Amino acid sequence: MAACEAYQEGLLALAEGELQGGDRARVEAHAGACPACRAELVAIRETLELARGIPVPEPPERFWEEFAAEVGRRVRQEAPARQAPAPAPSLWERLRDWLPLRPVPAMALAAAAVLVVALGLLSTRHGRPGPQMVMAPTQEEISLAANLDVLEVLDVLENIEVLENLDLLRRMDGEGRPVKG
Amino acid sequence: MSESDFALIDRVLAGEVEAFDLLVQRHQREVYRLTYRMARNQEDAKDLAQEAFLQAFRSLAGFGRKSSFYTWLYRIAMNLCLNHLKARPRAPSGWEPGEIEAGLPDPGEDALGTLLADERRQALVEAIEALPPQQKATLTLRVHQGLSHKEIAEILECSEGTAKANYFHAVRALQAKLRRYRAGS
Repeated sequence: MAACEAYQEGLLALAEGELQGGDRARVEAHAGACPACRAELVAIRETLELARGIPVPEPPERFWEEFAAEVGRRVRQEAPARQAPAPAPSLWERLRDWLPLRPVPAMALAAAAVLVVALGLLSTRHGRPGPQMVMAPTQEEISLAANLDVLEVLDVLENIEVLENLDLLRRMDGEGRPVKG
Repeated sequence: MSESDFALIDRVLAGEVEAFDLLVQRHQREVYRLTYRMARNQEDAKDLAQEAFLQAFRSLAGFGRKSSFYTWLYRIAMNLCLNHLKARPRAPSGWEPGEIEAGLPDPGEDALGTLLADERRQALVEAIEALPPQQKATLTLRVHQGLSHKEIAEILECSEGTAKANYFHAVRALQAKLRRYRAGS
């Protein structure tokens, strides 16, 4: 005969000593009156006792010494990397700090204009094939460059020589022509 | 008086790796026993337990201390065990080396009674190995680690109700196995 479905969970809780007060009294009273549930309670206790008795082979003491030593060794291999100083900021990060892109739209527009002009200037200055020289970028080009989020992630910008020559950029006027003096 | 786990964690985060050695020594046995009960293989259990400590070390700065350190560590270990069980082609059956010796009773005990108990435990081991991983995990944490349903829910990242339900179904599955064993014998 199967135990009463309504008392199944209660019998497990009772077997583990989890029930208190009124709940405990109710389930105990039922188990006292119902042979199937009383047998179920005994079976649950036996099952749990058997399960608790399943052994874990205890390793020798040497195992624990070696275990801890191995973890310690691997932790120390990683620890120096965690404590390494932060890498020097990249060229792009330095430029970004010098020329904040947001939330100053006017500065972003000015920076974009300078970069577009400088790219053109560089290509003719060094005689290498490059972007077609543009003396005065169009408003559309400047706005596009200013709004491109890619400006924040273009690693390629780090390699453009113009960024090494910020002084040159400072000495340009709004038309991309070098300022005399 | 020994330092608390949190005090040792503070020292580790300040750069004292030796403090992590103390955490390992303090918790290695319980973590290993947990991984052994899940993997039932000494080599796998050792690898899983060591990996749990390494992952804990890597993530220590992000440990929010909303639970105890050992609850958090058990969560890491249990996740590793559950992934291990998913990847393992077949669960081991029967006793693993060392389990029989570990279960040997005192010489004065009744030999037949011991043999019968061993056979029933064997049946139970097979039943536990056949449980779905979440039920096996819940049973292990409850029966062998003695944790509350609330702690088990934190470790397995489920609700307390789910933890209780998994445990209930796991125990019922073990009971069914024992009934079949008794009927067969």
